[in-house]
Amino acid sequence: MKRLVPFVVALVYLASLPAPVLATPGFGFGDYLWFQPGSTNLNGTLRRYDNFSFLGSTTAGSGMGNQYSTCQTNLGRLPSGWYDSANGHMVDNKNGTAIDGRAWGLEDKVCNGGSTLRTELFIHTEETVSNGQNCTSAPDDPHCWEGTFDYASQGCVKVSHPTSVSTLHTWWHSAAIGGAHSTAYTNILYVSTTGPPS
Amino acid sequence: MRSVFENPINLLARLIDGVCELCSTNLDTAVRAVPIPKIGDHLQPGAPGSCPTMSLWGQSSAGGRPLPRPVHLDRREPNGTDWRIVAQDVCCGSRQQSVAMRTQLLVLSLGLTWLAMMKTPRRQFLKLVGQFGVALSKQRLVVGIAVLGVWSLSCGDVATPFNGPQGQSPTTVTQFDATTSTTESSDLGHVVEVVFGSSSTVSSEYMVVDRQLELPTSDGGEASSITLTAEPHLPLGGALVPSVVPDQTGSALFYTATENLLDIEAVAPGESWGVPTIRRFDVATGADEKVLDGGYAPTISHSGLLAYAQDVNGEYRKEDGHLTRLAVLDGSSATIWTGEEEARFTPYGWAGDILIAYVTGEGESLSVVALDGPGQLRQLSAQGYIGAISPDGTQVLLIELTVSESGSLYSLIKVVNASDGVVVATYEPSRDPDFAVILGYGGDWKGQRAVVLGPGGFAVFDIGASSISPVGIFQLSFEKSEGALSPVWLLDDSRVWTRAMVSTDKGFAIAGVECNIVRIECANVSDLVSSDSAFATVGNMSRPQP
Repeated sequence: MKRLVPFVVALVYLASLPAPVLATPGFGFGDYLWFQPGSTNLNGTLRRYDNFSFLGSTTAGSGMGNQYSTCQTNLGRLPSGWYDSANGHMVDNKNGTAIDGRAWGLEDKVCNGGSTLRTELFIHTEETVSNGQNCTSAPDDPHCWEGTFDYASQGCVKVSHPTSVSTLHTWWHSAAIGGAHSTAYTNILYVSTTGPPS
Repeated sequence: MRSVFENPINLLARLIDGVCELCSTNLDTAVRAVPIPKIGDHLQPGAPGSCPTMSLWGQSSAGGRPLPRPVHLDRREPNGTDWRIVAQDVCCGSRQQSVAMRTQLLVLSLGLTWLAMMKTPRRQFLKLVGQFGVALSKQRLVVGIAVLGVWSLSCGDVATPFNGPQGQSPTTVTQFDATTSTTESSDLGHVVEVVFGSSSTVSSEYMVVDRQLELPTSDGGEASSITLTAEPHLPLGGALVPSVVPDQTGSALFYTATENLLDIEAVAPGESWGVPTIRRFDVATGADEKVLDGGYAPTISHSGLLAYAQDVNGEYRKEDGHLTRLAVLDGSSATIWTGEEEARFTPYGWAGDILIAYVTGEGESLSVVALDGPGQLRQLSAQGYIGAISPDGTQVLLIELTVSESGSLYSLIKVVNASDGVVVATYEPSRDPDFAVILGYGGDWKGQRAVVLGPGGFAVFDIGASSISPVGIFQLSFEKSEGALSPVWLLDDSRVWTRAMVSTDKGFAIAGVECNIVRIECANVSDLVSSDSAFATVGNMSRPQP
């Protein structure tokens, strides 16, 4: 009987280890993003998580100027809540009418406190289809990250080029997160001044 | 409560965890206690244009632990008066991580203790360790296991400073504006405190509450209250244009409602979550009947043409792009004015016989188009908002974005001819810093004066034959403000009506607000009511009006 005790202890120890989880984006798997709006629409924070563990953060913007409600389409930041992937989901080389390059499509969301639907939302930067820069049209080329004002959006979450978008892209495709292209995922982004409820 | 810095065991736990993170437990309290620096105070000299920095030491209110809290003065705002302070604090590990790891360590230490108590396994273990050149005695082994056990039991302290919900890390960086002059008025910029008091009305002629609105009488007498049959509901375009539109004679109201409305969150992509319908309320008889299905955002011309957005699917479908065509109803016959082109069109209003409309693109980008008739579409602005149509219906006030030399976004204001798009006046606000802000849409233009949505309020301009002159920027100030909501109506030269949105414990609330821009004062003119029942607005953007 005594000989079995080490094995029992080992089994108890192994049982106490967290079960391995499938690497899939989404809050249900602990692999998600949290966008916390800042004091202005240009200085929010986008945090990355893996298995509920904080990995890192970057500055991100959403909305124009400041003090516009989320119900002001095309002006205010995106509404609070959980977002599924949508709008073509994540692609590396989006060739859109207003957004190119690496982009994470987000589902439509009813604004906070109103009935206005916010649509056409993405997490993106300002880059070319091939993820480069083309800074030819002044003063604000949509394919060029010129400076802080580029954090402004009409509702999307915007991150800087090249570092932040590359970090986000690497996180998404990492083995721990397992994000694929053009694939539907649930609850990949949480937007709120406070973190997501457990 | 012990802090991780006071407890070496916890500090050891932190290091071994290797999951140090930045957090800001109670940081607001700490940093706000620091006097707001004045320009030039406490600053380390930096190169021109660089970010000045400084370091301060604060005191956390979390158990009174003395933590070094570096505070960085991040950057100076363009107007030279606002400062953003970025502060950061260091702690680590989430509660969930801590609990999981401590449980494992406790089980492990119990197992090792048992092994150490037994002779044979202990000898084998010491022999095994000795193969790695580690001189481990029985006493050292017991002490090590004891430390491990104590550590695992005491590690709960590591988790206690974290205030966030389980499973998430604490805030990494807290940022806030330390504003030194927001309540001051300059020549053009004003912060106007909104005085909230009780009001004799809930709804108004501009705002619908629970399907009810007030109809003004032509002789200025007491308004009559009417109740619509359906709830006005305009989820697509509702911020850009009113939900309820009086016709050219005032004898009827056209409005958008939604049938078979479902919670969009509960609907799968591609599935219907509602059917838009346009309804007509007859003011004289009170009859309220459906005009058509599958369309929304009606707007009526001076000659009675009714333009609307016709959803290509005839219903709202989740994540399908919400493509529309622009249709014009003349009597009972509808004509598509956008031809085969499908985009996200939203009719704004009529400039005489020219239909002005928005096109919403990726990222909610907006462009402005004019339609002279079926298939005759012109672009007025590649990226811009409509401020208002001139009273005579010949011109359009446009708001476009530009960037200053110092790298700030602000709005450029233009007046263009509706007939040919020629720019007849432009206002470049760079000489008036108060106006170098981002302006919105949903405004009004009466006589020589125009108003548009501004940051937290509205902006007023005087418009001449070839010039635009700023009158003032008015930011509404009130407790728990969520800002002003479009539209903004110019009641006369000195009075402006808009809506104030307030965050309350029970959600959001809205009140109609009237401001006097001469006396610089604002007060609510309708009661503060739940935003769920008071989101629809009334107005006709088309000009001219009889």
